[in-house]
Amino acid sequence: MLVLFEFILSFLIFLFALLFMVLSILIGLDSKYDLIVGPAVFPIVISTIVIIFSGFWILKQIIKNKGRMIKELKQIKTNFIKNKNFFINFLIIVLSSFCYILILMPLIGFTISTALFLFITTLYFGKMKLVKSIILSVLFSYSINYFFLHILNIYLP
Amino acid sequence: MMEQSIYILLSIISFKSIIWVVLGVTLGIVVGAVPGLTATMAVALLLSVTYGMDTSAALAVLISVYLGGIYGGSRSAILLNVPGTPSSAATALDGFPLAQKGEATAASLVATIGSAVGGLIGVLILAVAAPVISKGALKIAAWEYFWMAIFGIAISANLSGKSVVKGLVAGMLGLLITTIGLDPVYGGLRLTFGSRQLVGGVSMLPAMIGLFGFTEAICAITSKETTQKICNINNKESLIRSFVYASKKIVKLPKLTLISSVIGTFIGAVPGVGPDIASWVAYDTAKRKSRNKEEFGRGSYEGLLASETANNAATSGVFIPLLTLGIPGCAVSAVILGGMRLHGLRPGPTFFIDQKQLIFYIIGILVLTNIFIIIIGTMCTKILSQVIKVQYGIIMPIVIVFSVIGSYAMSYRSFDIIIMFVFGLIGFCMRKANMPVAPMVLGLILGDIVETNFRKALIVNNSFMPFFTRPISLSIVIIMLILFVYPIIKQRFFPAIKK
Repeated sequence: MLVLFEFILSFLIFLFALLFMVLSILIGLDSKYDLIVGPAVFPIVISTIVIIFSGFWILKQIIKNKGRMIKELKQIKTNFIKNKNFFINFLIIVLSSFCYILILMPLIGFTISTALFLFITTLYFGKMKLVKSIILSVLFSYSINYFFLHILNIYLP
Repeated sequence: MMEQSIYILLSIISFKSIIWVVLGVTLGIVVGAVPGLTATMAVALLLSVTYGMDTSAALAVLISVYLGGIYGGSRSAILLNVPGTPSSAATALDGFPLAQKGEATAASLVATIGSAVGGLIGVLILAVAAPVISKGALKIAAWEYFWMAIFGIAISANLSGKSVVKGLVAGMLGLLITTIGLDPVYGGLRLTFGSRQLVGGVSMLPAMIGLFGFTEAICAITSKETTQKICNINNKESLIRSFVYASKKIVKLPKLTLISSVIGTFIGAVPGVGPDIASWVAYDTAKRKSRNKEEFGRGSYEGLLASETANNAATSGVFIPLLTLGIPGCAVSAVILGGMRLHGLRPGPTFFIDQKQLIFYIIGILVLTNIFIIIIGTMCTKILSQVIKVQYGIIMPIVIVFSVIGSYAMSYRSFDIIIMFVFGLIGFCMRKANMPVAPMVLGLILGDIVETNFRKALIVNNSFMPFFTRPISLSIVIIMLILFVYPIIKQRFFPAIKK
């Protein structure tokens, strides 16, 4: 899976740099800026370097790992089942973090959302008992809030 | 002058400074000792906490956590055979076999004393070398600054991963990301994709917290290992007797201690290298010069001492380029530089003239921290073996909560939490593709210096030629070429040397 993943990542970086290059050239064509010392020159130079290196990376993988990539592509389903725990853990931690940061925190505030997040994650990943998990998450989120708000004078979301 | 020195000395040994250093060292040691939690992560997460403090207290906390963290990594290397921090990887080679032989306490104490001695020798070199370098740095212009920053990123790319190409892509990607937002010379908007939140650019600190904190948490949670098998410490053993035994071991090896410290300091002073490489180079040097080569890797006190002395000496060395040139020596010092900027400090050649008192204060804090490493490190020898048993499933969700707080507290922007989240995922993908994160962080930190000096130089000459024709610039370019081309030539044309 990793060879295929590396190939996809290198290709995405290549596209990202290409996008930056095109956008920078468009800025450079704007007549109010000097082309040599204007705002476009640095992003153009750096994105060119990224394109060259990521292109080299892609080519290296195609030449060196073509066989392995095709094999991984064919066995994608088997590999997925083989590494089921990894994918499940990854999905749970990313989704719970996503919900915590983007949905719960703006809706119900830092303290309650943190308590909920900690409760779910320590229960699942830490394999804690229900009561212990509730006590830890509630105590931790309230004490952190108190520490930052009243001792360090830092407001939390 | 006398009055000034007394004032600075009093501020260093003040009750407040000592308290911050004690707390910082303790936290650093614990964080460094727990596998999965690194010194870089701790310093990055603490930036938000130190933001509200006065400058001297903030510096005391960041420096002591950094030094404590690098030292703390040796504990899990010795007891678990898992380096707590990357700089303790060489320590595990001899530390763990010693622990298996039942000498865990002595090995831990040799690492403790060696770390502190290395750190103190490093501070001495810093105090002597930094003012000289700072004077020389005043003669450096935009062309040289540009190349030095590039040198830091390139060396980091060359050394922090298996593939140079991946490291260079990471470093350049970091630089590319800094081009988002306001143009530093004309002040015009560029590459914001129509988002008002990106007008000020990608916030550097949330990005770093994401790359170190959130990434680390996801990696640890998705890893197969949830707890580690530990090599226990003999609780009946007298700590004082073990301390005397460890001290005698070090006293018998003065040359090794000195050489490893000097190697560590100088390698730490090279922009982009840092303690990780320092420990390996010192270990290798010690092995080559030792009369007992066969003991290396099977429980050699020489190997353990060389690695631990060098990595802590390097923590002092990284402050040489940081304070004199404003260029960080490694990822952690890049984060510390970010923290210094938050407090309105701009390290560089004039820093030694403008902020003399602060320089003395930093040197004093480094000395104080190394002294407390011996005290706290020795006292915590037995407790730490219990601390490192902590489960990833409990500690990592807490790291995520601190990452959220750390990224928000700097500017009270919810968008910064999203930046942290996105960079956390980017860091995770990079890890899975064996792409080093350190060059990207250096790119993010140095992007401003690189672009401003690049364009300043172009404005002066309207030509790229002086980048390659000025003597210092040309020297840096030649050194970089040698460092990159030599391993390729060696591998291609002289495979026998490689063997």
